[in-house]
Amino acid sequence: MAGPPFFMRLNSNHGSCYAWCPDPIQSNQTEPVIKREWQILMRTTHRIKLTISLTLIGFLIFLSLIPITIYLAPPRPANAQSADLNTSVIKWSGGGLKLELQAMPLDLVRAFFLGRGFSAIDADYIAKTGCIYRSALGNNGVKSGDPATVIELTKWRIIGPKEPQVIQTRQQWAKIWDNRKVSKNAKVAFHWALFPTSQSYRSSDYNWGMISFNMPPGTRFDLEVRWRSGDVEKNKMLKKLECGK
Amino acid sequence: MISTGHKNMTERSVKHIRKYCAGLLSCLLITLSPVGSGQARELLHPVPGTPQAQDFELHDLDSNALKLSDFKGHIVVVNFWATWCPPCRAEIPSMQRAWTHLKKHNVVILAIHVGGNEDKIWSFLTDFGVDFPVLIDANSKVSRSWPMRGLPTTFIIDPQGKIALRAIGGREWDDPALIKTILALAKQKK
Repeated sequence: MAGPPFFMRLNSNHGSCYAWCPDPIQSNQTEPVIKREWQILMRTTHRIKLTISLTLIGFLIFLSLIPITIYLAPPRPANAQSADLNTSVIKWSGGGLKLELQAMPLDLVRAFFLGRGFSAIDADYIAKTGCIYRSALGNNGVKSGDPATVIELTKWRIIGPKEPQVIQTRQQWAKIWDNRKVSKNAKVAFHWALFPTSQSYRSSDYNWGMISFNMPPGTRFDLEVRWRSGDVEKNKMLKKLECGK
Repeated sequence: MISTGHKNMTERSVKHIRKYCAGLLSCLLITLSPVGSGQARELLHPVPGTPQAQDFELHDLDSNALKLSDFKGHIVVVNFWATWCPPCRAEIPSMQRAWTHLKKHNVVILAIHVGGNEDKIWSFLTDFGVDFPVLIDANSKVSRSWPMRGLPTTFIIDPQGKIALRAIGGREWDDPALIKTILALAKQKK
């Protein structure tokens, strides 16, 4: 008869019985012992299941609270800025517009335009007269059917220490570069680095670019942002902006 | 008898635990899946009147001349960008990922760099492992002649050579919804 090697074979009341075979003396008690062990196993399993379930429920409650917390959080005011005006980012979204503005420090402006082919003198001229903000503006719509947002920088109003001023556009800068005999490469880069003067944005659309407020470094001003969402003219006043220093 | 009973109980228990674990896993997956249904998708917008795309001839970094009209019959993604434009830089890696999929469907990507600084462009493309054609519009003549005002702007040209779709600003180009929208142009009636 085929089976395990002899040293694994034990004598028992059950005939051929192998190494796992219970002790013949205790064989009558085997069934209750297994039942008891089984009950302990089941109780342990039940406890594990209960622990996992409670952990999961806690986790689900935590997850469900995240959007509620976000929803209930007070919106950040558009002009909420830290004490360091030069480095703070202004973010605002509403009425079909999403907006991000940040004054650029003079050294950053110089470095950017030196890298685009401007001479040190011309890069310094932009830094000292441009009041350059980096910006990202677009349509905050999420569906393809949302109304288009039209932004025309010439309609924005700067309320500063002098008379209300307007933004210095690509076209106005182009005349300055013609007069200053700036290289073609630099002119091309400057044109495309500045935010478009006029643009229509559909949902998800946005542009990145620099906006030149045309004031000396450190000038403080308020800005009335104007745009059109569908057929509706809208505006938003941003207070206490400061040109980079 | 004992071993058979024990075996049956064990099997029942294993099945029970399996069911329980499957339930837990499903529950976790549902909870952790992206909240995509309620969020904005990246959109491509139809261009009113689908105007004919203006042909151009530009050189790539190896001085090979490429014309848009060379790709008539293909869907062509024309992307205007610059190395110094942050959203342009941000979208190029996703465009490369999209390209690996789109080229299998005979879609062409032509990235047009506005302005010229070949060394910086070359360095950027090498860093990101870009292998779709990149053309240089050194004096921005082509860029100014196309209906665009800011960077990045991307146009999708249909196989008939018309501007079908447009995106102003960066996108995640390997988004399956975007890829599906682009490939759908091939199925449109001529």
